[in-house]
Amino acid sequence: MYRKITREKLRKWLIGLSARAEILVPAKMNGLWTFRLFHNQELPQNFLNSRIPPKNLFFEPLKGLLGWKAADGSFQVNSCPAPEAARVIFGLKPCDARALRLLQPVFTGDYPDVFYAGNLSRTLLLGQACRVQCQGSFCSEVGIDRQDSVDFDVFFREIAGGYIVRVITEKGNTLTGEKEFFEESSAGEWNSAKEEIRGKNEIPLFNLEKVKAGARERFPDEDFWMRVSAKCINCGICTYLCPTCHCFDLCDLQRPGQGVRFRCFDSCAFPDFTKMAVHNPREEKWRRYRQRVSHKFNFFYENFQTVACVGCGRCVAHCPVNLDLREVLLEMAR
Amino acid sequence: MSEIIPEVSKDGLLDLGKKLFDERRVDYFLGYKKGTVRFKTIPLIARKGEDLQELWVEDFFHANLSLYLKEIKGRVGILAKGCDSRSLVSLIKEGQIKREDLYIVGIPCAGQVDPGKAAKAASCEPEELEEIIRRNQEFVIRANGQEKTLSKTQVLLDKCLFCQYPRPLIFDSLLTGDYVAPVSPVARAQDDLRQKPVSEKWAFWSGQFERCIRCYACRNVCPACFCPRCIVEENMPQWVSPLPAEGDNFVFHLMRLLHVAGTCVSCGECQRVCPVEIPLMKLNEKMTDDLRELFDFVAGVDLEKALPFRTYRQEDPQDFIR
Repeated sequence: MYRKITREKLRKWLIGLSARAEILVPAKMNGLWTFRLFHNQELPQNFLNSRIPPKNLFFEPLKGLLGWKAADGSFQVNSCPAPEAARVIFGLKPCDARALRLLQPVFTGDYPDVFYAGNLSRTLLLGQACRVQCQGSFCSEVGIDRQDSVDFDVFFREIAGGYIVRVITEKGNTLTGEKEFFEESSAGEWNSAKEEIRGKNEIPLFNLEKVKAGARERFPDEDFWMRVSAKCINCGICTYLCPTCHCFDLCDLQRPGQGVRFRCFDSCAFPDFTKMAVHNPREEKWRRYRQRVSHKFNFFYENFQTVACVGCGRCVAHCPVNLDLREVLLEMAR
Repeated sequence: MSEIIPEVSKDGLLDLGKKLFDERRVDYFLGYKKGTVRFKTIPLIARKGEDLQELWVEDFFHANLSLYLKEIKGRVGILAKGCDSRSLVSLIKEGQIKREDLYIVGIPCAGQVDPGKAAKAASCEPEELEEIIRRNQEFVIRANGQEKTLSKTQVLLDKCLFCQYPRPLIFDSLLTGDYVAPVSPVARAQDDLRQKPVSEKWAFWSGQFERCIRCYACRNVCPACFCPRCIVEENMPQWVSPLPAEGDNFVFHLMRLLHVAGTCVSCGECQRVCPVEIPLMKLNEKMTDDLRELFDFVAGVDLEKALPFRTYRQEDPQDFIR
């Protein structure tokens, strides 16, 4: 189902929604695109992918899980409540929404995570088609359509003066059914709103099937992993900017008589990642880099039948030493 | 001038590197190769002569290669811009490397481009920048099919505008080229923040450190951060929690700042690589200014002068140390 809305009406629609839900929209803060609370402001045009992936709004980098208190011989443990307040995020990109879907089986499978599940079910996802090829990105190679997606409730394509929207879920249908704001549109109009992406691929295309096979074959090839990881400086940029990386650490903050258990991100790039009492199975850098690539293109695929990479390009564009995942994948696919 | 400078041409650089391997004078050679992302260059870690085929020293060689000397031990050939050579001096003084284990090839640098800054000056997103071309004393920026001419001040990294050491301070040979500062050096204007009351400074840095994601790229890219084990990773006891919370972020950054005082040569790599664009150089500049004023010390400029935090003097003005 397709509808359309003018730019001004979209803003008014969001203003109306903000009485019932928290609205997050793209905004530039300190030179970085990010998602901020909507205060009835004009919506930005031509915004790019947020530097920090919206994953952090669902799987938070710092999250209290439980608290405890001890007083007068009694001891109390309280779980932190799962989030419930309704929320709308506007301006998500297809890659980041796919990432949220990829993480769903991890967080809602055998060991359900009430926080991730709660955040997902309380949030209406409003996506927007990309117009620019992000630096370092290879989204089309991992099966993301930058101009179309069904990972949202509603997906927006910008046209002169407004948007054509593709309604995907029932929740999206109800919300965009308000005649005051949205008009009916058609598949024809939707199709003609498709745009050419500006910018070009910086690296030749690779075949994802070959990458997956290569990830398995290359696993025991220590020389390969040593060579490709040699320049890595063991920082956490690639993992912390990644929309699908989801390794975490638990940390207790204790004060006399009380404490809180937090969850925070962890990174396989760090030497202490998986360090145990007497042994560190990934002491060397190449083992940790192999872990990162294999987790995404080998283990995750084995477990969930999809690779855990959406090609957003953040790890490529922001690596301090230009360690380009695309080059590694190309070589694996050879 | 009686000094004889062993100059090497760009074509000769490859031969020089190969010769160093052949004569077993180096085990590694650190250089640059062409980047895969616009306006970036990849550090090249060569283990043998053939690896040097990809050597590329045209433009955008931001990286201070001395960072790899933390990890790579042995005899190393290394390319160094003027500013990078200060790190080498500093590391030799700190006993981290031996001068005789290094073969330093100085490279001329006409200033390093800051794509973020250029994009801002050209009123576009960094993603939209197609080309940054040096043309005489200016830069031509192509973005969204349009061309704009920008000045060096609008395009180069701030540190390059105050470049005092365009020519490496120590080297074994120099690549042919002009060793002059990209713009005639002016004194760095003092940061306005320094005149502000403490409460305002606190508010400013709270806002900055709030964004810190604790990726430790600033620390890991820093040649001066050479501790084999950093205090933030100690967990028995845990001095700093790994939580990316404001208090711990503050402790991490300020502790790191004090720890590199006297070794930090203001190469600016920490700020350049920060994924959330925290202006860390504001802190480093304050620290280096304080060192100059209080200890008459500038890091990485001479091999002889005593290190401020390694020197004990009877006449120290502070009681607690006497």
